[in-house]
Amino acid sequence: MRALSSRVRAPAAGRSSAGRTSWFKWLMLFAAVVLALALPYGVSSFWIDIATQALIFGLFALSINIISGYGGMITLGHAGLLGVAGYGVAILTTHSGWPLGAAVAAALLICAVASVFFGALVVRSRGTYFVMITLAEGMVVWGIAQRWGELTGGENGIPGIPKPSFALLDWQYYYFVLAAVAVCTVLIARLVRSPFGLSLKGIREAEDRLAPLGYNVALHKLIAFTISGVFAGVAGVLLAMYNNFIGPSDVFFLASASGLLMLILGGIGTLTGAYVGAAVVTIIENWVSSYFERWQTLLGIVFVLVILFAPDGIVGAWTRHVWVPLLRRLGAGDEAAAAQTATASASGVGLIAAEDRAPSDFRGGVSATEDARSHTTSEPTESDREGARR
Amino acid sequence: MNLCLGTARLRWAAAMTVAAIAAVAAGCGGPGGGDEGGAGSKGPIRVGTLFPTSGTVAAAGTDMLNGWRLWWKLHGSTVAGRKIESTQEDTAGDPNTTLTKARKLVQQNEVGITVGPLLANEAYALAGYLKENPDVVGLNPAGSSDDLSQRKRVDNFVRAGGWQSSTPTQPAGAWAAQQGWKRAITLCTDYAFGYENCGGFANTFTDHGGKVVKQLYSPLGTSDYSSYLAQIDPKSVDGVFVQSVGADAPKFIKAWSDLGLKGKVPLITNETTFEQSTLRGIKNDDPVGLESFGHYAEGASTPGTEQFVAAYKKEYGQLPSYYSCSTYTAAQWLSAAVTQLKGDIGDTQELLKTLNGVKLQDTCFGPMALDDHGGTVANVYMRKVARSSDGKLANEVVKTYPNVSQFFNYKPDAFLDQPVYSREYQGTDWPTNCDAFARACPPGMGS
Repeated sequence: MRALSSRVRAPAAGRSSAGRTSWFKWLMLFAAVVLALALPYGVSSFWIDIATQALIFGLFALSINIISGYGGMITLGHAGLLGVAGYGVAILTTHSGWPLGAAVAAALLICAVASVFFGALVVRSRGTYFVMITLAEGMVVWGIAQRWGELTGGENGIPGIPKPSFALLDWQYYYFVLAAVAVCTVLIARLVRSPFGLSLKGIREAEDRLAPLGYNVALHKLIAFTISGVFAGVAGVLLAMYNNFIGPSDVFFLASASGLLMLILGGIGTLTGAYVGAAVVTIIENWVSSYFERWQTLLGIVFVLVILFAPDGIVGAWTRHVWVPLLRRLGAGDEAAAAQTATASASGVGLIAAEDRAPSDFRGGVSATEDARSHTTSEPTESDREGARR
Repeated sequence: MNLCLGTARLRWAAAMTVAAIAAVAAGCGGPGGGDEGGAGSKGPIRVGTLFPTSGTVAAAGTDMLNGWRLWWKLHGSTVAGRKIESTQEDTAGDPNTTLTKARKLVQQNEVGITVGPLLANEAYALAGYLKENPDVVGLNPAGSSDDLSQRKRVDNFVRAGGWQSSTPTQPAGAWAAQQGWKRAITLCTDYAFGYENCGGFANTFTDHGGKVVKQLYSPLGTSDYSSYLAQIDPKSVDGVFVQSVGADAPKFIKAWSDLGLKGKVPLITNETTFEQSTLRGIKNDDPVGLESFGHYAEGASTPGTEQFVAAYKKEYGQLPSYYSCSTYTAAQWLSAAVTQLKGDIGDTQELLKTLNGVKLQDTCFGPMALDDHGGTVANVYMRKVARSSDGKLANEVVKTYPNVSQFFNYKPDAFLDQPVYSREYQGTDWPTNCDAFARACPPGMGS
């Protein structure tokens, strides 16, 4: 077996003319951090709650993004892994009386084991089969949550999960979640830009090509699945502590689908998209619903509009129509092009609007496979794309 | 893009340091924000209602909202000089949404009292929230999980107009055995509400010498009952107990008739199977003559019920369901407590004590009060579906069991020593002797 991705080099980013834009980017990031930190001072506790929820679901969507957005494997069972960790912490704290810290650590460990197990069952499949098996895995967890009443409380769920003693108030818990989510996001950002992340993108674009190049595709997928599962588990732990409650509806496949929809809405294959999508859905669900009875219809309309007019999600549209022109004006053509291809390839997961894209949209994907030392010279053909998706 | 570049790493470190400093600053200062509920002794009393007006149980949630609004419309929204201001939030039948909406009501709308929700899992989620927020008082008119007034009671979550799932089915089991049923089959929905309904029946039926030969469970959302009903052999059983709920109920009723079991096998069901919200949608005579046990009978001839049914019909043009009756009663309950306290509900403990002590004689359920554990004590009616004079299907009272407790004839302590009814525990082997009974130990039970 060849060493994992050891031979892959990260592409040299075009940073030559990027001094100004780079600072601009850091300024934006800094502004976002300041905004996130200042939020509890500026808004009512209701909005702190909304923000907390959006961050938790954003992290969940981002965990799906690792395999669905970057790895091209669409999952409908991730809420099951969220649930394994959530129920783990719930059972260990309420039934077994463990201290919270130990319970969280154990719950994440259990979640990692479950992720390896679920991943092992699914990594050799693709496309629709992948979706169906993950769906089934999620439903297994849901079934246990629903039916193993003595352990999981059945339909009634488990109330009474404690929060950390230093984060009992809503704004304290917000900061706690913000810190956890920030750490996870940085880790995920590092992961997807690492050589491993690149080979993951390679799998997304042309799984069939990577195997002959000596990559252990199944192992890559398994590791990605496991990492993704653990981050979903972190979201599960945060959610269980936030609500002081976990129940079967948190684990149901609709929760998985909701995470995926947040991701698509925000922009699949982007880091910020998950949070943007989660924020939009959370606000519609919790705030708009107070004023507009048919809020679910509204949510549906938003989804349709986004799919029609911004198939690469809100962040994708933002990048194309605002970010890239802005970077160009600041005189960073390379960066702009990089951003362009990043979103274009990221949206090429094959779930949405696949037919509408010209082959040139796959440049990002091709570069990923070339980065992975592809010896092919030709543009990917229709049959390649079919194969990659099948 | 390579984040491993040294300068980038430095920038990250800088950004993170700033973040850490800001976080520490935040920790020291801390954004304040008082969460004073709208209790006090002056001004309006703010009440937040948590009814699921969207999602799978939207119809029932809308009935709940209607019942709540009807009471205030008929009786005026000022009680003991204080105006009752209600804000409705949709829980969508989901525990997480219930929690968010409860927080929103308490924090944004400054309510001191919540009413709702409907489903058991929503109720448990809200119970957890209330436990953490002892200054908020929750009225629970519909979340019928047994344990909310048994093993997992939360003091500031009061069953006002509510009930326990197994309370009406416990007399049902005893009744069936007294009718001479020796062998019975139960068919319940495969979740907590179903287990508790079936458990109540199975427990008392076996106490009285009956034998539950088979327990069938259909998943929530069963569209075809024939495979379950096919397992009922009319020759080998004396009767069948069925619980169904929501959209499953009309499907069960249809299957029962279509398969020719109606009139051939004695049947009794729980409250929700022949609930008015189910009967409304049935045009044929399939349910006519079938019997069930419940707290609410829209055809009852008590003044409280008649007055409520007439007013509801006038307002909404249909017969009220038990969901409407429950929130109507919750409003009546709150009204009684506020009147007793002369409008001063500033002391939460005092308010809870008063709410727990409320005894209503004339609700749409009949008389209603709470026991020492916070469980509803109310009449249980054996009901029969009939066509009323205007051609609508409604439940009429066949027999009244007055003031039935959640512990039925058992001693509360002995009862609470057992686990809550579940798929595993249906009480069929308990109790083994008369020690567990406070009264009316069944004949044949050892001492």
